[in-house]
This record gives sequence, structure tokens and C-alpha cells, in this order.
Amino acid sequence: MADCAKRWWGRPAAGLALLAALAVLGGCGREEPAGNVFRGNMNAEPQTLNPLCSKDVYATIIHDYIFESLIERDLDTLEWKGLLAERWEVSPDGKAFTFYLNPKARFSDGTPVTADDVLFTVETILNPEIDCSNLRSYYADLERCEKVDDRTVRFVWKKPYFKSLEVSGAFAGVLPKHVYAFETPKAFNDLSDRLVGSGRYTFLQWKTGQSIVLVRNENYWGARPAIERVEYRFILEDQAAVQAFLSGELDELALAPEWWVKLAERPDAGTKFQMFRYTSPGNGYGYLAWNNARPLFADPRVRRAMTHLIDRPKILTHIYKGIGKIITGPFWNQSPQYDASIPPWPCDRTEALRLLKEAGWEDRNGDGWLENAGGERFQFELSTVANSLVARDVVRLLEREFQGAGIELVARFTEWSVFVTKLDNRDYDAIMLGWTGTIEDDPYQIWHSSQIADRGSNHVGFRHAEADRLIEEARAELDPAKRNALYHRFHRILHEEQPYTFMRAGESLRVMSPRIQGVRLHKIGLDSREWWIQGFEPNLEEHAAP
Amino acid sequence: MKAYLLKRLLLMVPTLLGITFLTYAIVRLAPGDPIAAMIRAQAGNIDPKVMHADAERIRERLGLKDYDYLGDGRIDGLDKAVGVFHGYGRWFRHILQGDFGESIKFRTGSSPSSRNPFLLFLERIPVTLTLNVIAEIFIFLIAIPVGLASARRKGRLFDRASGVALLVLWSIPEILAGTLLLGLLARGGLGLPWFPVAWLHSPNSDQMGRLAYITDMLWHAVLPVACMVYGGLAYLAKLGRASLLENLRADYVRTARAKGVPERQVVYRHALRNSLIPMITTMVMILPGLIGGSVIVENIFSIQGMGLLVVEAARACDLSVIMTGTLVYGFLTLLAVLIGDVLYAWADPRVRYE
Repeated sequence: MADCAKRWWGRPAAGLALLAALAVLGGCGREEPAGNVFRGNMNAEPQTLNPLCSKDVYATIIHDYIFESLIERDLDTLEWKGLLAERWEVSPDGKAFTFYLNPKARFSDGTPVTADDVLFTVETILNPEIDCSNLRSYYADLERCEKVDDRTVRFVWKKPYFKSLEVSGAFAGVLPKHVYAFETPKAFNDLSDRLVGSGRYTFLQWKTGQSIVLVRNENYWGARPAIERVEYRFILEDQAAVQAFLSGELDELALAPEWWVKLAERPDAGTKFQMFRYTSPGNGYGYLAWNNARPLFADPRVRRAMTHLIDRPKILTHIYKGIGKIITGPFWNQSPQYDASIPPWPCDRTEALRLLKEAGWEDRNGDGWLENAGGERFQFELSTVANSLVARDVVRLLEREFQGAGIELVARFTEWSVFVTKLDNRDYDAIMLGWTGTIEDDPYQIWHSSQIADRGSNHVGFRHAEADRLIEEARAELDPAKRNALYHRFHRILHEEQPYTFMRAGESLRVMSPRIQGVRLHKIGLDSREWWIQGFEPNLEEHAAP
Repeated sequence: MKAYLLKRLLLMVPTLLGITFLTYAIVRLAPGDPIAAMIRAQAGNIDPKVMHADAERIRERLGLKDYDYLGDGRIDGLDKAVGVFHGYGRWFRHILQGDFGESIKFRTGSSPSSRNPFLLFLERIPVTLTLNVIAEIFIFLIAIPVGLASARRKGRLFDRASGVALLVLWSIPEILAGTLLLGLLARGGLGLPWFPVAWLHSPNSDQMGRLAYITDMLWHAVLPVACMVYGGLAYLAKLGRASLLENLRADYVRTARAKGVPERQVVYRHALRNSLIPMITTMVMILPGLIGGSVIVENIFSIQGMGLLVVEAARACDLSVIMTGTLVYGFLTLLAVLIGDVLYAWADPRVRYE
């Protein structure tokens, strides 16, 4: 019996030795991928890399390396500057935009970028059979796009609109016609990994479940970037991605607040990795929408009371680890559109109860719950998308806060596909959701009352005559100072009316390996064109260091 | 036996029909609009007219025209039911013609323009099967000796200790075990940096020789397999122990002992063989469960297997992928049940199928 027992205890030890051996063997076989390579991560795989039909942010990241638009924004001044177009002209009425292509501009296969390519791109977007409705909807007021000569294109719009220059010049990368010309729209819609553009990198490979690899475009018509190869890997799980980053298998990682805080606490933060925290319009904002069409939330006093009941600073500190900023309106909080002089409504239960009493809600029978004159209890459903633990925490916290004020919040967590139908049918009391923003936003789609009908984006049912008028006026106002004054007024109306409780604008949190050099923080974030890998210093004459 | 096999194989057809019909009905009657969800996944400001035109066109292409996506009661109950039967009939006709439809969400890696759900599964089956077969082998190799040892030492320290340990193992959720393994044994974690954090292959695996490739894969498979092994292992070891104990109390064992057969022979030749019978069938039967259960492991270790595919498809209401998945899983499960029954007959001469 004794020898039997010995055999037994020997076996796990042998097993452990085998594991260690495998670890060593495997470790020997593993690549040491240092080199002139940048390795980033995506925590989900793009659905498609189709240049126009892709819908996710992951595809956008890849497209930014491969395609170029006519103009782009300066990352610090936010002013427009030429990219494929060396210059452009605006007609005095603000309706026509003429772009002059840079004669040096070439696609990665060596063919020059011409007006025909620009025309082809716009025509493809406008083709109703192409799956890019989200892009197409911006071109609704385009009268025509015409070729003036081989290097000149003109966009003519039906009416003056402050975003026309942006839509004309910066909304889509120019596609080479000779590569993408299609027989049937389906042939184009089905394209998934044919990526040819005029940008700094060319597409090499997409290994499902593992990575997307790009290599430097050696024929690039502008200043070549210093980094030779760009890889984006797909590590789906946060912890695994953080470990891969810490062990040097990734050079860059975007983090959720809880991981940011954990990494910032490490003693080697700052030496083992660089940390960048900044706000950009793409972070968007989170909100609670109070369905204005429901009798319960039709009264602005009730909606404002709801905002007073929400302890936004507490949510920001405890749930979002202090990352983000409490906001009062829909614009990017760093843009001149946003009126920074409006202070957020404070968390104030007394004020909330006072407003509710004015609106007819008070505890009439002493049971601790608010009732209206008809004896109905104040009760509503708050729906949100089920996939986020953070959202759950926020909802649980709100539940308690509202209960303390005598209001019953019933939480509903649903899948996105179900959630979307709730939005479309306006079938909710309150929802928690977010919007992403842009540098210069047009509030028309989300806030104009014309967008309530036909399942438009004004799902909250906000209807305000003055707001409508301001939105319309601002669209046609081409002077930024005058336009922003209109937006400040609009912002103030939203603040008084509280169709949404604006919760928090997010922040970008990125950690980067010290291997990556030359990383600078601009007004709207980082620019990979400036980077190089340690040990592969760029030839300064050639490198596009600004 | 041949007649029996044929009968069982034929019986699989109505069973599969039942499974697929139920799944189809559930997915179709569940609320949610897959197409709108896909279009809206990112789009912030989008002109509803353009979007709905887009959605209608995609619906048409995917044969989802009569899908009650609005769920707003415009389509009444009877029409809904009729829609389900129609839709299922169409799906079935297409399957018979080898047409599995088109995925809304996924594309296949080998031919990136293809959205054929069957090819999607075909790509992922090898990954899932490799992991599961390795896991099964380990379960078997560990569970039998542990079960045997604790049965022979019934009531003594080893039996009690292993009993508690197995119960603990059996109760640990996979997600916790996976996270712990990742944090303690993978690179960049708090413990020993022995194993990789993701995938089944290194990024440069396509340039490796055959031996290096296999070593690399085994090295990557250690943590995911460990995650899949411990639960099944605990279950099977407990089962083995119970089964062996039952046999050790059986009359034929007493007879053997009375005849003076040495104890080792009694245990290994007589009792153990008999007690393996239920374990064999259990082994086969837990295979489909393992395949389905590997979704958590696949997510933690970023492995593109079938489990993740099916879960993601369900979340996106990707009907054609869900249906193909049901077909694949249903078939695998029925096949496993059949193999289990056949093995039972093979291992136990008392069982005869006629």
C-alpha cells in the first residue's frame, strides 16, 4: 500500500515537470518580435474591412492607415488642411467646393489619384444598393459632384451648410476606381479584405482570430512613416490583453477605467510603460433619456428633478474611477460649440422633491412612495444594454437613489438587437445609452423635432420650437462665431428642459510601450505618423516630424 | 446490430427536424431586429429613411422579409405563426439544396468574401475538436486512477481528501479558473510567466517546422485545456469511484476472492473492467457538453472556436448561423449518444441490440 501511495504522489510531480518542460520548449519556439513593428490590440474582430460598408471602429482604425481623404484636420488647431487635395476653394454662396488634387498623389500601386477616382468614390456612396446608409445619409443635400479636369473636382450642394466642406472633403477615403470598379453592387458589398488606397501603409494579411498586418507603403507619395510594419492583434479578454502588454507582446493598449487605475498604481508605471489620458470627441457621452412622449416625463420639472436625484459626481468617482467629465450638453466639451459656463445641476434631493411636488408628485399616504393626484405611484422602467458590468453598477446605484426619494425604478437589461427595436418603437420610459461625437457636431439628427417621426434619431421625442429654429439657423450660418452663439443658446435650452440627463463624457486611456518613441499628445489625441520604434530612429530628413 | 444502427441513424432525422424547428421558432419569435442592430452598431447620426431602405434591401437578400422585426404588434399572432412555418419550410428546402444561407455578422477567414455559415463552422470545428479531444484524454487519464485509488481506500484519508478536492474542483466556475490560470501561469501575470495569454498558435506559427508547430500548439493549449479538464475530471473520478465500489461489493468479486484470486487481480482484472463500462458512455456523452461549454474558455484565451461563434450569433440574432449551429450541435450530440450506446454494447456482453 505504501509504495502505491508513493506512486500516486509521484505522478502530479511528473505532470508538473512535463508542463514546465512544455513551457520551456514552447518558450524556445516563440518569436521575439522586436523589430521595426508596431503591435496594437483590438478587443473584437472587425466584421468586414470593406472601405465603405464597414460599421465598426476597428475597421476605421485600419482604414486610417490605408486610405486618405481630400482634406484633414490639424490635430492641434483643428483647422482644415490639404491631404490629397493641395488646396480648395469655396464659392461665395458657400455651396460649391472645388478641390485641386496634389499632382504627386499616387495609390500604392503607382497609379496617380485623379478626379475620376474621387467621382467614383462619391458615386459608389450614393448608389442606393451599396450597404453604407450611415455614410450616404450625409450626402442627402448634395446637388452634384463633377469633374472639372483630371485633377480638379467640384462638389455643389443644394443649400449652404456649415458641414458641407467636411462632408465633401473628409468623409471618405478616395478609392482607386481601377481597383474597386464593380459589376454588381453585391460584388462591392461582399468585398472584405481588398484594401488599396493612397495611404502610408498597404494591407498584407488578415488572419481570422489572430491579427491584421499592414506594411509600409514604400511608394508612398508623401513623407514615409518610420515604422515598417503595423500589426493589430485580437486579444478579446481585458486581463489577457493587459498581460500581453506587460510582457511586451503588445506595444499599445486602450484601457477601461478600472484597468487604467490598476496600472497607474504600479510602481513601474511611467518607466515600464507610458500612459496617455485625453479627451477626444470620439469618446462621446453617456446619457439617460426620459421619454418626453410619455406622460410621466412630459413635464420638464419632473425631468429636472430626475437629474437632481442622480449623484453624478459619485458615479464618476466610484464607478468610473474618476475618469471622464460631467457634462451638461451634447457637444464635445473641448469645442467652442459647448457652453462651458453652464454648471451641471447638482445632486439635490430637496430641490428634486420640491419640483416633483410642483408637478403633482408627493407622498400622499405616508407609505414612502410618491403618488400623483390620481393615487398612481411614481414608477418607471429604465432599459439598458445588457453587456456592460459598469452599466449594471450604475443602474443598481440609481435604483437605490431613486428609492430613497420614493420613486420605483425597474431595471431592464436587454440585448442590443432588442434594444434597437425599443428605440425605434419609442417603447421605453427611460433608457441609458451613449452617443459618439464629432469635433463639430450638427444636432439636427438627434434633436430636431422632424426626427421624431419615422424612427429617426430623436427617439426621446424632444419637441421645442425655439430649439428647432436655432438648429435650422445654425446649419446655414457659415460664420463660426455666430453659429456657436446659436449653439450656446440651444445648449442652454437643453439644460433647462433636460430631455436627457447628460451623464459623462468619456476619456481615452492608452498605455504605450517605451519602445514607441516620439509620442506626442495633441488637442484631439495621438498621431501614429510621428512615432518610431526605439532602435529604428527615423531618417530625420525623410520622416514627417512636424 | 446493422439493422439497429440503421434504425438509430434514421431516427436521427426526425429528432434533428424537431430540434431545428424549435430553435427556428424561438429565434423568430424572440424580440429584436438583427438588421437594425447591425446597421446601428456604430452609426450615430443616420437619416432614418436611408437606413430603412438599406435594412429592407438586406432583409430581402437574406430572405428575412416576413421577419417580425418591429415586434410592435402590427403583425398579429396567427400571421406570426404562419410566418414561422413558412420561414422554416424555406430554410429546410434550402438546406436540402445545400444552401445554408448567409451570415449577417460573420465572414469566413479562408475566403473573406464568403458568409456561408457552414464554412464558418467548418473552419472552427478543428479548433474546438482539438481542444476537446486533448481535454477528454486528460480527463480519462487522470479520473480513472484517482477514482480507483479512492475506491480502494474507501473512508481513509486519501479518499476523504480527494473527495473534498474533487468537490471543490467541480464547484469552481470556469471563468474564475480561467482568470486565475491566466493571472498565475501566463506571461505578464503575477505568477510564473510560463504560458501565452491568447490563441492556439504563435503569430509566426506559419513559418515553423512541423514539430515546432505542434509543440507551439500544445504549449498554447495547456491553460485552455486545464480549464476544460478539471470539471469533467471531478465528475468522472467520482463516477469511477462509485462504480468500482459497486463492483467490489458484487457477488462475482466475492466469489473471486473466495477462490483465492490475488487482490490485485480481483481489482484490476475483474472489478475495474466492469466499472469502466458506465465511464465509457459518460465520456462520450460529456463530449457535446464540453464543446458547448468551451465558450468561456474560448473567450478568455481568444480562441476562435465554435462556442464563441454560436454565442455571438445568438446575440446578434444571426439566424442562418444559429440554425447551422443547431444542426451541427444537434448532429454531434445525437452521434455521441449513438456512439455511447454502441460502445456500451461492445464493452458489456450482456447488452445486445436487435
